[in-house]
Amino acid sequence: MAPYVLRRLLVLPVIIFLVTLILFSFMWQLPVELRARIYVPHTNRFLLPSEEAELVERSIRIHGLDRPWPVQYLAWVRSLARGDWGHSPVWQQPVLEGLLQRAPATAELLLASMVPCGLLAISLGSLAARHRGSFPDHIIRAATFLGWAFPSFVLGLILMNVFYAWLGWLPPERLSLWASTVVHSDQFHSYTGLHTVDALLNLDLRVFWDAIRHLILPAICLALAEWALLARIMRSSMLDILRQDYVTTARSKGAPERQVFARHVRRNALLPVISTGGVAISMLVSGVVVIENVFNINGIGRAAADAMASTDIPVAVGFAVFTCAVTVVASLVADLLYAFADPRVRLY
Amino acid sequence: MSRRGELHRRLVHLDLHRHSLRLMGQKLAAGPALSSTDSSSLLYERALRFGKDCSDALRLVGERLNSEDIDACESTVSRVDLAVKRASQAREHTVFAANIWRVIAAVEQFLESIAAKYDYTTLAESPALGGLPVAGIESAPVGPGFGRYGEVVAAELQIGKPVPFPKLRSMRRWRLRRMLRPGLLLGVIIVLAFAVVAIAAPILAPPDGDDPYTMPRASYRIQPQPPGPGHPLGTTERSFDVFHGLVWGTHIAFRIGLSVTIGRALIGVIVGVVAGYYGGWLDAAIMRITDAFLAFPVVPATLVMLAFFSPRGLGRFAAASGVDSIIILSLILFGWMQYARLVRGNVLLERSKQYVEAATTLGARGVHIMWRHILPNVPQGLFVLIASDIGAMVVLAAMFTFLGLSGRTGLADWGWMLNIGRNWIIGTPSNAFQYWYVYLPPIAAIVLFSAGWNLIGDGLRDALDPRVR
Repeated sequence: MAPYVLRRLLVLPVIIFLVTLILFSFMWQLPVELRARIYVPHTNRFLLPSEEAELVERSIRIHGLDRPWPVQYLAWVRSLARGDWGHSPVWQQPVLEGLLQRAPATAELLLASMVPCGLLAISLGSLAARHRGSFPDHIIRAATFLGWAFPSFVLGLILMNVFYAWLGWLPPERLSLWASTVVHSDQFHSYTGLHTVDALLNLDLRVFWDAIRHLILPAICLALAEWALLARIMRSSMLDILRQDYVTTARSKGAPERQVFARHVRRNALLPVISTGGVAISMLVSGVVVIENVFNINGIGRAAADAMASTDIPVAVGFAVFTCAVTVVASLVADLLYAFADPRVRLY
Repeated sequence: MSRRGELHRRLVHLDLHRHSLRLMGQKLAAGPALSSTDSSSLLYERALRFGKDCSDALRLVGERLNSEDIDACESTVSRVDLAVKRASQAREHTVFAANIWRVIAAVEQFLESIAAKYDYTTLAESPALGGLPVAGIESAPVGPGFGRYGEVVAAELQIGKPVPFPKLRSMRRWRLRRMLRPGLLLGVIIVLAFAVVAIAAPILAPPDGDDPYTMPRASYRIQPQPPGPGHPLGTTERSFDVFHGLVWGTHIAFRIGLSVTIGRALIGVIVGVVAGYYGGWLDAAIMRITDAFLAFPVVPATLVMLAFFSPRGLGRFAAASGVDSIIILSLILFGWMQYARLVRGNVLLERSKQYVEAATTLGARGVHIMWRHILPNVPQGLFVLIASDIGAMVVLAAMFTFLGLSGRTGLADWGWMLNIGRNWIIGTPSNAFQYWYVYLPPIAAIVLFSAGWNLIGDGLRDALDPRVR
């Protein structure tokens, strides 16, 4: 296991290098002044043109924007590593700080989507495979088709129309008004920023339930496409495994069906699901942008969409770096999980 | 080792090859393999290989035989070689299967004739070795729609030469019949319907002025009007005509879907073929680059591209065609990786096959091998991916216009119609669905278009996968 992990970690710098190179090549298309302005702190104070020019000049010198592009690239990567991601004129705060402030909302939504999605995909997919050709199988297959083909934001609009406008059960945003006053009061300690977790840690079940109620619709819309994909893959990989000789052998040796599934089928069928799950993280990050917009959740996706609309270049760059970092880490974790699950990969 | 012991050893070898060949013959009798990535297509190569192994084993046996049996062995060898040659040249599954059975028959008859003399017992077809019943060669099935081997031999003896096999149910016809699946047909009908609407757009919704991609305004009223004369589906906020937007939206949908997918496929095929064929460090480098691009989720990357490039330069196409070419470019740029991986997988699979090795041994050059063997198999699975992708691309494009990041006011695009229709979803307190005509038509259009293409993609995948009925 250790040599595989080591080898996988050694490839990581290469990937990071290539990713930052691609991002830098896009950034390089912008004129120098725009790039320098990324790092100029914007304050409420009105700046004279001369003062502004001086700040821009200083930014150019500090970040080496008048030097050849390899030097620029290194300076940029170094500033990223140091935490200096620029300053957003729209937010009036440093980009990294702003992103981290909005990150918990997105993290909560992603977690609330991923966990049920994964569990449901595995359980329903294996159910469909075990009772192949039966009525539940057809229902699940139809559901996966619809889940994949139906646009998530359209579903969000429809569900909001039904469950909020008409029935009033599941409102948008993160918290109701009374709950958000509780959360922002002094007695409530926000340890993580995730309202559900914090409510549990503060032993406030009413806020917890309110946060869950607000999470249900966005989580469903976000996770549906990924669920469809994973359930389909789980079903087809289980069908493949059930055809294998070792399953027939286990059955003919008299092992109870439950044991056959627990010991042989499930572990092997999970492998394609894990490897696709790593790739599906990027699907979730893509979907979060529009789902946060539809349900008015103040997370990173919403921030990015607003930034693009108002052409906030520092936030655009910061958002790109952020999502790439998240995707790279997630796929690394998925690879390691896969190696943990499949001994053939780490022993070669 | 004694002469007799060596002969027995060689007879056992021959018998094992014959037994394996018989197992394959049974599998071949079930029907043709439909796709070259299926494991049963290895069956053809394996059967040929075992046929040749039988021939070699026969020759080895012949070296140790008594002089009176050498003639029988030689004639068996020539029969086997002829049958193997015919099988390797066969273009029809039935012909291939029949010649394999000829090999089996020849070897079994030979073994039968000399077994008693050399005190050798042939391997019985025991159930443990595959569950095959003990059966004579005469009752062995040759292939679908032709019958038993015994009948073939009887017919050959009658006319004095090999029976010409009729071209029953050729593989191509079978493949085409598999395409007539309900899902696939439904998808094709839906997409064709959209195509008809797109072509007939100037007739169905005559453009007001010279820009068809702007929805005409009846007035400047803010409130949407229900369907009425002149506006079959009513008007949205600010009095844009819904029907016009619906009809001309098909243009944008097809344009984005087709151009993005074709772009992705082109880049993916080139990268995949180069990586797969040349291998080595080039392959490793290209794979690392592909991994790097995979780290960019499509939507955030497109957002960034829009933020960087929209205010300048490339945005000039937006006004003319109603479609933001930056979106197309970035969807291509951050989406070719799946195609490249698929194509590279196909190329690697083809390269490992024996006939490519054989061709190289015979002196074929890279270009020839690429053209004749690799390229015909590159599109395997590509069309399924393309069909599914077209649906997904249009949904993504609708998402970007829904977010307001591309397009302009009044653009005849489904996503844009949803953007302005969004405010009217709540409806009035008395009737939650009062303004259905504002958001339901674009929703229906997006969902149907995406579902149609996905049906085509899934249907193609099921039609080409021989394991699915």
